[in-house]
Amino acid sequence: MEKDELLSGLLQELRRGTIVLSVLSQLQEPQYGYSLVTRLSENGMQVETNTLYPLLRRLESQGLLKSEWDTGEAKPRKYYVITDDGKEIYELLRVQWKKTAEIMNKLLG
Amino acid sequence: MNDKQLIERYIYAAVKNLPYKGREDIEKELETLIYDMLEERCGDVPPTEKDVRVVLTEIGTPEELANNYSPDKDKSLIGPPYYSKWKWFVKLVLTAVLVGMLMSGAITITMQAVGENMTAFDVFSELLGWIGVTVSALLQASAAVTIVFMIMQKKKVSFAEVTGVQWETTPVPKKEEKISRKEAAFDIIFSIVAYTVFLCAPQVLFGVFTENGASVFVPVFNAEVIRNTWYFLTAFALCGIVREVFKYFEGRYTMRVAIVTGVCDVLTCICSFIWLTRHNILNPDFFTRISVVFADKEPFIRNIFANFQIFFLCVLTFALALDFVVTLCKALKYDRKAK
Repeated sequence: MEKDELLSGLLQELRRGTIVLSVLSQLQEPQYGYSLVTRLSENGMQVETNTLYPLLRRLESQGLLKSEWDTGEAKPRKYYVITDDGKEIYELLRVQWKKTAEIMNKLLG
Repeated sequence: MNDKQLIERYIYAAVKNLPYKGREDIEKELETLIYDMLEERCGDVPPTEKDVRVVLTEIGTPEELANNYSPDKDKSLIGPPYYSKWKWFVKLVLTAVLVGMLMSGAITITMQAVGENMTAFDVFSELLGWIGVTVSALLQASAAVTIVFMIMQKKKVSFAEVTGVQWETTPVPKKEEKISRKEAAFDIIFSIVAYTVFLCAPQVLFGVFTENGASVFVPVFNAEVIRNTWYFLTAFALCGIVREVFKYFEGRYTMRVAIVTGVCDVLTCICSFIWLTRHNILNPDFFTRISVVFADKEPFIRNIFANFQIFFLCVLTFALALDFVVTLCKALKYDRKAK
């Protein structure tokens, strides 16, 4: 039980940064929350809705995303898209991620 | 309860404790999410209550959701790097207050029991009263320490900023250059114990006189004046604590330690001067009795008792000056950086 808890905690730490990067990568064009969950899930990245929705708001408050309500359809939906600052940060993160992945692959064999 | 009510209650439970700003936005967004998920699960078939419950379970409990949305998520009252220092300091302060309160309680109850011929019941009820006062003092002390650390965390005050210590320019101290942390901790405890005992049981210093064949305890200090001038005692205790805390974190004799010691000692001197020249802190009854005892003794001893407050002030000033001079000499000798 203790081992499971430890592993779960470590996995959570490992995933924390990857979720932000995944979200930024998929918001080059506007998406609403649930479509983003589906899209990430289709690409093998499982993100719980109760994590993603608050994260979108946090990234928006940090200026990396902007949002707009679309009330033209049957259900009003809030669309998120990456900002110019977000794009800049995302590019830097992407480069760093590739370097880290290379190093990790080398280390892990 | 229909499905709509169930969804409404879920959303209300999730957002009710969130900041008002943005709450309506989150409500609308969650509602759309729930209906999107229901649509995917049921397609064109109207969802049942079970479907709604499954979707809501999948999203998580309202508490989880509220916690994730909360702007205070992952925030703590006192987090690293303050936590370990807070833990150390709160332990120290609580130990000191506990010792001080137990000593004060023991002195007060013993003197009352002896002087007023108290019954066992009276002693017991006094004891209960002191336990209450001690618990309250412990709570207040821990709250005070916590508030100081909370402000430090809020203002992001770093300990290096407080002590001005920069590791690159700080040589490793030799043994004789070090300030013993145990000594500094002991002095902090002593300051707090002395403050607590003196404030709560000013009768701690007393003389025993014989009156009609019986022994009478007469306190040296006037308890009422001591308690009414509590702010002076608080200033003395704070000066002592600040000086020792600084020594503790600096860990060696430096000019900064000498300056802080000097400032604290000067403040203590000024407060002592005002305290001892403007307030009669001594118990007149004690001095009437002691004058009788020393009536036929050396004039020097009689003079001391006649001008006890001035004598006390001189001794205190001398002790503080000595403390400063010793610290300054050590700082001049050992502060290699200052050289």
